[in-house]
Amino acid sequence: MHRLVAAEWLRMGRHWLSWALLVLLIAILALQVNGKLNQLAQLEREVEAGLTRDDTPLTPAQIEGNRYEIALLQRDLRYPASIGTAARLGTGFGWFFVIVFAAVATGEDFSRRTLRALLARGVGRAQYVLARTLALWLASGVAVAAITLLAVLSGLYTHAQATDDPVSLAGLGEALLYPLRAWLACLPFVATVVLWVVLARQAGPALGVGLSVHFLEHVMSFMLPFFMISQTGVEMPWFFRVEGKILAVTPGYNANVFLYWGPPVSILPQLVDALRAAGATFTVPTEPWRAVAFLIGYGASPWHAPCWG
Amino acid sequence: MNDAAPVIRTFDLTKRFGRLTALDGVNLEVRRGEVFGFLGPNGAGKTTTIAILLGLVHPSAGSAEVLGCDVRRGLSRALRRVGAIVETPAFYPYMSGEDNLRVFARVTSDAAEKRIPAVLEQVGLKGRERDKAGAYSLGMRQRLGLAAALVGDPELLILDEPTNGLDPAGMQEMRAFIRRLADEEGRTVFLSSHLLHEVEQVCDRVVILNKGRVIAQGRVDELLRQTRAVEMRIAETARAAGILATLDWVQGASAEGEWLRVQAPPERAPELLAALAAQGLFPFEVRPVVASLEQVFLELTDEANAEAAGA
Repeated sequence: MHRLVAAEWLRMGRHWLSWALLVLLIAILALQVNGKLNQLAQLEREVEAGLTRDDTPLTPAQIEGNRYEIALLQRDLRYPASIGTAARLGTGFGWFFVIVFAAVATGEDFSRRTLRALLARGVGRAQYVLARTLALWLASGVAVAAITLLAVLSGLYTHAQATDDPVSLAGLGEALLYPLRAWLACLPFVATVVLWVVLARQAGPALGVGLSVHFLEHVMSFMLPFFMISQTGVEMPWFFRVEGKILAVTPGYNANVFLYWGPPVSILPQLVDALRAAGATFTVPTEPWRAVAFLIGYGASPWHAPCWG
Repeated sequence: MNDAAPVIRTFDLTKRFGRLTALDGVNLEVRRGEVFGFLGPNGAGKTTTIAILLGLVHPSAGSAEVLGCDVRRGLSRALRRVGAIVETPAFYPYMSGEDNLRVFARVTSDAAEKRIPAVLEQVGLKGRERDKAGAYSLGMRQRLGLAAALVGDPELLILDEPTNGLDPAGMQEMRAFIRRLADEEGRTVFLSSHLLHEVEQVCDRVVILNKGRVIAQGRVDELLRQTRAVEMRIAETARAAGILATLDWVQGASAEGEWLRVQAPPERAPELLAALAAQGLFPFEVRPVVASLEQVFLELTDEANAEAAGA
């Protein structure tokens, strides 16, 4: 098994797509962090001047809102929390890239007929699926490690840009949990995509289904703040209830719950905090251990693949 | 496994794909250290047989053993001692030839990786090993395929059309190389080919497969002797053919111009001459027919097809 994983590792290391996706991921992440810093600076300027970008005076409520947003940005960008922020942001495109790479790398064994050459060497079908899944998961670990390293190295710079507070290592452990969880959550994506490719014997359907489903998960996650309901008991529209049921079983949503270890709120955090303050709760499941159980289920799916040949 | 035991053995091997019977009770035996030719027209079942021997396809009935292991149980252990090219060699085009070998070597054994330089030298790819496999010509890919098959230091090589894409010099070189693998390195080679003269030159024994059935099996020289005929140049060929056809040990006689081809053992030529002389016919020239494997193959497959059509 270790020999097969080593062979797969060598192959992925020579594949241009692995390096292209890694460079692209880091570039996008750098732009995202830079965007957050720019947004922070802009908000601070607006609060200081009491004017918006187009010189319209800010209302007291707007100033209060801006201050709230500044606090959230500073919380995310101060060191060492910025390590966790980088890991969280990285999963946005990162999980898409994991789907693409897992589908392409596995699919080429069918399209190039190299799978036959491997099986003719006494490699079992189950062994192949297991080794490919493990190798791809380890490769995703390299991407997470690269992001974490860059976040550690650039963290002091980001911190200095975001706040005047002195650097403290408090919260380092919690910050490092994010890269770990981001990597662990790659396994269900890899495993599910490998399973689809093996069943379809080509990359196309897995790529199409994987990207579509994950895109849908992203779109649905925009609705997350609206999956909250006040304890005063407001009736939710039926389509929200159906959407919530679907979202609750998708790998992407459960990976996010696992990553955040609770409600994966990154969209409209102010609204969510306000709703929470008003006693609202989520109508979609947000228990981390439930998400872990789902992820284990998705992660274990390739073991059934050899049954279908 | 003892040295006398067959390296490959099949017992009534049968494979059906739905209603199509690709293999129908195939029995064959490949002995250690020989180059075994596997012949058959397209669709005869050659690739299906190879796929079964490599565990890629399961037989519908019957069984097969490779290096003493049943293809249904424990074949993966045996396959570590087998090198194979199935149909066209498959590689990762974005990797160099050497790296492609490294991938297959890592899968095979820890020692295989150390053999890469020697194997590259052996197949004549030294100096081109750093080039991307995608830039290789068909002939070079074929050589790389052979290198991949050899990298695990296999006891048995299963080669499906290994000279495909090679130029005449390359084919000649490959044939000599395959012979050396058996004669000098003691490897057993199971060679599937449609190039009959290639099989005739390289193989010790052959099996001829037609429509999923074995129609002949044995030493190449024995098979060649199966086409036993005498040719004679004679006046009145039609009358001579009629006379010889009355002999019960003559299987047939056909005239072509002034030549008469008689299906009979060449060592009984004096009896043929005596029969003709008794009727006042004297050939100008008599010669035994030196058959090629191609003739044997065509005759046998024609016979088998005619029998099948008659049935």
